[in-house]
Amino acid sequence: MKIKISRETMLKALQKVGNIINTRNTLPVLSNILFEAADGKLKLTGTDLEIRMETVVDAEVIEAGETTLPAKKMLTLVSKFRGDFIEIESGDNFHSTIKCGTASIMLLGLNPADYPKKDEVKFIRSFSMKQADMAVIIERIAYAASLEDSRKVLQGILFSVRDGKFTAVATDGKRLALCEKVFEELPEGSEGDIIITQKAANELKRLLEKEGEVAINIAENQVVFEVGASVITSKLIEGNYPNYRQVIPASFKQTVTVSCESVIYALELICVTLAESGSPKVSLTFKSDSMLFETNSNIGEGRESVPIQYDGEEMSASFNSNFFLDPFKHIQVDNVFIKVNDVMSPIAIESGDGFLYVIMPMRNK
Amino acid sequence: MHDWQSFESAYPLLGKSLRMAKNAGRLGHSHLVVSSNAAIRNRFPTLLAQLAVCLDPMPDGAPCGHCETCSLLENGLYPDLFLLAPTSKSRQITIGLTEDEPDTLRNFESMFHLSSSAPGGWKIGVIQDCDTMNENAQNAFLKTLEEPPPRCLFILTTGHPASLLPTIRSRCQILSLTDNVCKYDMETFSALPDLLMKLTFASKGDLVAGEDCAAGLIDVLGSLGSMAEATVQARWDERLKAAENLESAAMKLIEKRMDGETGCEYLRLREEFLSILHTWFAQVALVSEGTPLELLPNPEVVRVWLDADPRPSIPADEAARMLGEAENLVRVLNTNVNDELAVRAFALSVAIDTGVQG
Repeated sequence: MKIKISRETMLKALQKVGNIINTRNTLPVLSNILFEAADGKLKLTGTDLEIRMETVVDAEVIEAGETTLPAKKMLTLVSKFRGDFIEIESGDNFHSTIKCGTASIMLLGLNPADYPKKDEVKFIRSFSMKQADMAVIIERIAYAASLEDSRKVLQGILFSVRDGKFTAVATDGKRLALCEKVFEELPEGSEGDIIITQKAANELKRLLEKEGEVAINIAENQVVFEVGASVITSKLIEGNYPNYRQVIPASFKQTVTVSCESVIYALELICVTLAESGSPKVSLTFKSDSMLFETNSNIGEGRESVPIQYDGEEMSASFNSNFFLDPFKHIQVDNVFIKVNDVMSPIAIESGDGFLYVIMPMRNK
Repeated sequence: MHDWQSFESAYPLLGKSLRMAKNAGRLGHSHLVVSSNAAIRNRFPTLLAQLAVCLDPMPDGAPCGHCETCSLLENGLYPDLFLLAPTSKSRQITIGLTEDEPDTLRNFESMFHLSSSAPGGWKIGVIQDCDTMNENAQNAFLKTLEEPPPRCLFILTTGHPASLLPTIRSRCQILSLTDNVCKYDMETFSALPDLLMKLTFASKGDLVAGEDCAAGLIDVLGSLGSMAEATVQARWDERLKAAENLESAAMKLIEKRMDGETGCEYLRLREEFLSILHTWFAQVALVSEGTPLELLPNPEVVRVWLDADPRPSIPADEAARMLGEAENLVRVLNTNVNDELAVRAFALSVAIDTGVQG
């Protein structure tokens, strides 16, 4: 294989693919990226056996062929090179010479025949949506998925297509984040649920741009995301996602509008400063003209209020401060609606454009 | 035991039951393979996995051995075959702090909740020497073992089932592959028969001869560590060559696994050494009592003696005394004593009847 490629193009491609390489993997070939050159294109592939990412870039292919090279070393080299173009020539024993400007580096590669092959998958349903919409959805809900739970389905994110609507849900059993998007057009037979891993969601989010579409192709055991010239193939989490609709109250007695920025300011001011470790409990009191945040710890106590319009009875409930703060940090709108019933019931935070966050209050001793 | 047919000829009842269960769709999702033979414990999980996932089984339910999944399993390339074995020096499988910690139960368990990309969609989990799971790890595994994710097959192997929690045993179908005869690798221990021959028949009342035999036995025992290292090194050589460019974290993990495997191999060799020594004296005692030679269970151990012309002999009560000394040696070497001292005391006690045991 012999190619010439722009350094910038190569760097972007390596950054996309190199992130999923797991350095603790003991199968040597999985530390490498597979390079395949043919017909004026260079395809880079990385995998950790759970996720496979491929990206195709333009390159001047002088001699078609394939090789594998260590991902981290390539990324370090290409980011340090000072020239505009890189030449890669692989010789016997899969060793490659990488030239840029006056620099010439030889890297030891491994046999591309040992690289895990791509499974032949048969898609059972497909749909697509705008990349920008998908990026907002993942940003708004991914933090709510569980990191450690014996119920493995809660460690994933539900992608559900029902009644012409795409719904993404993440929950850890204590809070739930949900985002809905209505399709203008939906191909027939697209309805169904899948649970994707957090890693797949994070990698997908890294690829998404402001323009263009993302195609979501679902096979029996895998999901394939096509974003421009890049493709992510990921395994799915098996199991049934809990009936999340049950935890969303059917109605609320009061709704208040609040500025995201002021809530973030108030919570960070009193909770971050007074936190001993973890996330302290914050008490939230709804008054006629303000929402009062209070917390105390062995370090001290603090209070801050945010102006609101509230017509109901004064009520107070306690929450995990991080759980309460998370949606405000990720929602990307100016104002949100907080909906309440009483001190013992879950409260909801809504953006008005399909986002819903439900959080359970903590019981006071 | 290379294929299903040779397994079934060795264990006809078990083989037939498993085939029938497979044909009736009643093959269990978790099996505990009990065998004192390490080779069977290593080999049988592959055959059982082939039985469960074969894409083109025989009409009687036996695996074909050559379809895509059978070949992948045979070559260790099945994409959803997950192995867990003791790798630490303490020879324990631990629960692990997070799912990302390799060679721990949490990491192993987390593999089974993702969809399978293997042909047929089955995920196979094998825990070698599962009795080395500590109590926390065993307890943590109970729920998955009882209600595994769909299309999962767990195969646990052990030589010491009594060391497992009853709750683990009760959740598995126990497949007992016990041997009537234990086979010994006499090539590895080729020096041992001559030493034991000299100790048994040419050291009576001779302290110098007894001390010579003791020195020989101590040499063999002392070389087990380097033998274990060489065996494991040979197994890993190819992989180490390919791993030269790995990140340091992965290299450390490989070194840890090699250390663990060397420890396991040393323990296995030591166990075999003691077993050969005991079998020698047991069979000499049997023959001295009048047992016909053709009924000896392990003639390969005493071949040097059987082929000797003329074949020396000792009285039955003398042979029984020596067997008592050998049993005592096995007992003390399984406790925390100095190996050299114990072997020397044994050899001298065999040579000189002190009338005192232990």
